[in-house]
Amino acid sequence: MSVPALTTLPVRIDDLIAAVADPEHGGIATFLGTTRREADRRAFRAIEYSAYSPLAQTEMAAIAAEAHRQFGAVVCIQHRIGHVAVGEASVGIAASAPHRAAAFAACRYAIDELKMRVPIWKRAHFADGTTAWFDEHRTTQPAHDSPGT
Amino acid sequence: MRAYDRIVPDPVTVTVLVFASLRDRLGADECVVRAPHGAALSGVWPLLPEQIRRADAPLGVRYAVNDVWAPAETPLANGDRIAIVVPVSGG
Repeated sequence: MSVPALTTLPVRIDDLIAAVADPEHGGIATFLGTTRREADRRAFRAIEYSAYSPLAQTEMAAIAAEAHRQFGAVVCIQHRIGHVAVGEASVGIAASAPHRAAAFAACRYAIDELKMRVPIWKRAHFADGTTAWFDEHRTTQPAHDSPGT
Repeated sequence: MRAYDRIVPDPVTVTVLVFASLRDRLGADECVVRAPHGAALSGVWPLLPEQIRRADAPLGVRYAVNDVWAPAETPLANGDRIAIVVPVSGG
């Protein structure tokens, strides 16, 4: 089945699994990135995601193709756009491969690459009503994670 | 002086897409910029509306031309749709 790379609807992991299922494969690894209630000691109501859609879709397809070349895995990636409430998934990945090691590796590769290079941005909506974009260059790891995955 | 020595190439007009906090600063998704002939992607920042360029160009910016990644030294062509891609934070 076809799963859109970007969606304003909730991520349905079953759809991603169905998209990569292969009777020749012995393992499917999945990952769901969800909105945490709190990060950096600040409480959130939601995270809002926006994308440069054409290039984000191209880049997500490229990551899936790279994972296939490197691990022999079939990978499906979906990212949600718009407001994602605390506890809901912002990104879903399913990776199927002949064996579990390749499935896990491909799934890990896909989320790591997505976070580094796919043009999608999050804006935190804090519980106190303020907002903040996460779109600045970081030369070191932040002391605390950002509110997404 | 020969006549053609005085010919100055026309400026180019490009559409610039912005995202995230730049979009908030601009108050719009895009703007139109006229740039000198031969200008590169990296030369667009000083030509942007004042509400954006009042701050330095963000570190880690990447560029795209017509929805394809492009190096910062890529020359602008008339009618290009360029994107200023600030550091990403999906996931």
